Amino acid sequence: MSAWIMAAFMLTAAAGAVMVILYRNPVYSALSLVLTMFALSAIYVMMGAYFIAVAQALVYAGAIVVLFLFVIMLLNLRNQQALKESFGLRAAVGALLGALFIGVAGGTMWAVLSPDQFSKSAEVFKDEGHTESLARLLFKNNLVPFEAVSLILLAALIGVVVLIRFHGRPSSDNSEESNDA
Amino acid sequence: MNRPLKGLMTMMQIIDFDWGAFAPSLTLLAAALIVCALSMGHSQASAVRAAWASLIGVAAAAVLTLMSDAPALYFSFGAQDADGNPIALFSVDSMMRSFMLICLVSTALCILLSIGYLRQRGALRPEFYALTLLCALGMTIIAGSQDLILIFIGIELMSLPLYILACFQRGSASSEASMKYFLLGAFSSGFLLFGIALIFGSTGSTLLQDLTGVSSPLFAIGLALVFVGLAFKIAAAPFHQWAPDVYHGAPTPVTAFFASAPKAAAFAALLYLFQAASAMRAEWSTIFAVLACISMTIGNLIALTQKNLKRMLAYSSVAHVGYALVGVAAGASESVLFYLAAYAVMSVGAFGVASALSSKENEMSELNDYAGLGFRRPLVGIGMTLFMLSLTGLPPTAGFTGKLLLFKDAYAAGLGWLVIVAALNSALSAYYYLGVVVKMYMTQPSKEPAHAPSIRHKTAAAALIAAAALVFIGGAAPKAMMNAFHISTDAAETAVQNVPSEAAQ
Amino acid sequence: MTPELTYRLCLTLSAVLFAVGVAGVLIRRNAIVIFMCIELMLNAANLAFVTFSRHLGVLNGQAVVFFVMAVAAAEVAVGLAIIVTVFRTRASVNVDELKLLRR
Repeated sequence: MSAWIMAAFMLTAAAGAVMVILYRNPVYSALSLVLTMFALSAIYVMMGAYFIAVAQALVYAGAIVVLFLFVIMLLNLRNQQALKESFGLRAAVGALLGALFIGVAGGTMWAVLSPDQFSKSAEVFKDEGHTESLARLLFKNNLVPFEAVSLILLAALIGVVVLIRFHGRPSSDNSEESNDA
Repeated sequence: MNRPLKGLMTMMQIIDFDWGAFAPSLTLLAAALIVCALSMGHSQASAVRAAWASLIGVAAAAVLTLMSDAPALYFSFGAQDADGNPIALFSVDSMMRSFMLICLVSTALCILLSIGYLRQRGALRPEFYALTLLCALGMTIIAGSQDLILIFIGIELMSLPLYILACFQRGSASSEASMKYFLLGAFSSGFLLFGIALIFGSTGSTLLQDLTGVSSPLFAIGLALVFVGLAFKIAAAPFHQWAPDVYHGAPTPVTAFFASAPKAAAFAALLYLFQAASAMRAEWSTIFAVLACISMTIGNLIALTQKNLKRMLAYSSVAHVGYALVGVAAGASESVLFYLAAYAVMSVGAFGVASALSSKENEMSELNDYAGLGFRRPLVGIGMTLFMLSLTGLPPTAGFTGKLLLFKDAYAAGLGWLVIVAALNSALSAYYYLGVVVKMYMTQPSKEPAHAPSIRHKTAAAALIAAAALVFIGGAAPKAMMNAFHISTDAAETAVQNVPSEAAQ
Repeated sequence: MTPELTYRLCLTLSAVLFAVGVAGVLIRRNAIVIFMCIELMLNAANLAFVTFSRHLGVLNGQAVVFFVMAVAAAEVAVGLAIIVTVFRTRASVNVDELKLLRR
């Protein structure tokens, strides 16, 4: 039973990803992205990575895609001429490259897993204190990357503030900016 | 000068933390946080304060790096593997110091260039310097990283501020450049990260020390993806298409920054990975040789046709990445370091001339803007000539010494054909570099402007003088330049360290 | 489904997600959708990390996923701010219309 559920989530994730690039309306693309994110979250649950699953749902589906939708709505993109894209040759090249990559990387990853490594993997994830051991890992072994990530967030914060304060201010010498509403 | 390899790890000294070794990085961090706090202010005065504070911070970090000559140390920050042994996450050795010095010197020069440029355009804001320092911090992390995840985080910490810095000028060209840079940068980060995931899958670890001797198809694909990601970051052909547009659209001091420091940092990651993945070094050497060949040829050929100085220098930077890749292919890390240092100062110098001469009315980015400038502004003319000679690779400049070292090492490594291609490319590049000199001294502007462009800001002049001095020292006294950048002049040291690592496999 | 088959399918799914993301970046011209495709690429890497971490019994792979999520969130904030800035001046998010810099 659970195997079929897993397979269904995998298909959902793949279908959502394909729909992101096929829909011409970016709102639908964003909604397809949510679908993929939730399916991935479910897959993480079924693989026993509970904490990652929750973070995936909260951060990606809850924050990132909402931000995307917010910007799409803010810019009111549905009425833009720019949306009328033609696919054609580019699509063919993109699809070809994609298929090539799936063939090479997917094939290698399919072939590379060796059954003898499974013996020990089951135990690590079976224990109840999975989140606890993850937290230990995060705050002991990965303390420096963790602190470095906080600097990235600081940089992003300052960056966004400066973009809004600097480019958002209507200025007399740049008349283009005033008619964007 | 080699990175630690598995066989040596047992002898390697791994300690938790050491204040002395991290003094430069912590100085930089403190400066970054102070400047972030200064960013609260709105006024022009607070921006100037932030600029000077950041300059002092960068200079202090550079001086501390220059003075420290402790032996190579590896740091675990308390991290332990399953058996309780410390893990080497970060290293502070002479190579890390060299990369850090290259990045800090170019950062300092670009800060000096930016003050006047931004003030003229009403864009002088304290946040600019906060972001510059955070970017420099990211480069520091890359320079010492022994862990792929730390490298990824360092690259992101370096890139995010760069996307914003590209946007630091009113008008659509700057924000377009920023958007292009951002989309390509994020795209390349995707490659980098997926590659790291595959490497993790094939080795069960993200530590560089665990990559030694691994050779499996999955590992090869992962490494290839990481290299594609890094090739985007250093703008090596055929992954260079974003560079001319971004270099053209960004404010000129920021362009000078793009061309120097982040490139050197991405090269650090490339070199460390290349050295760590020892089992496939021969294959990668060939691939890098081909990549170097393509980069040099495409960069130089397209640069020939450019009428815009910033675009020309952008394509020339693609060519220079090609020259540096010759050294990577030959496995000669000292020559690559010297070349990166030389390229950093000479490209900052060349972009810096454009930046220092520009005014709000005249961006000084077209080649025609330089017609007849050599006689009207003799000092600027001499400086620009020096930078162009160095970019061509003619004595007595750092560019000449750098190319000489690279070609010598590449020839010794059996890459004779690549040396010939590189030498032919240098000859080709002389046409457009010396074209700038010819333009400055042998042509007259079509219409005589009332005031010839001049350098209005003392800070920009100081930056240009410093860059010119470094370029000249690099040519006249290469040893002094090597010492200044902590580049080991003792090739024997490398040879000695290579033997046990090869034996350990 | 044996765990082995599950892991193989998950890795294949991650390759598919990555390839779709790359193809999307190459095909689409709308900057926001291109950015969504980049998010797909990062998610593909996350899935690979979790699967490998499970398969190899090394928990560290999951710690990495946290960092990627934090970095992705920072990137989205900056990226969308830049896209909004471009839209203010150009009234378009089509990357083909960014012709100002082309000669």
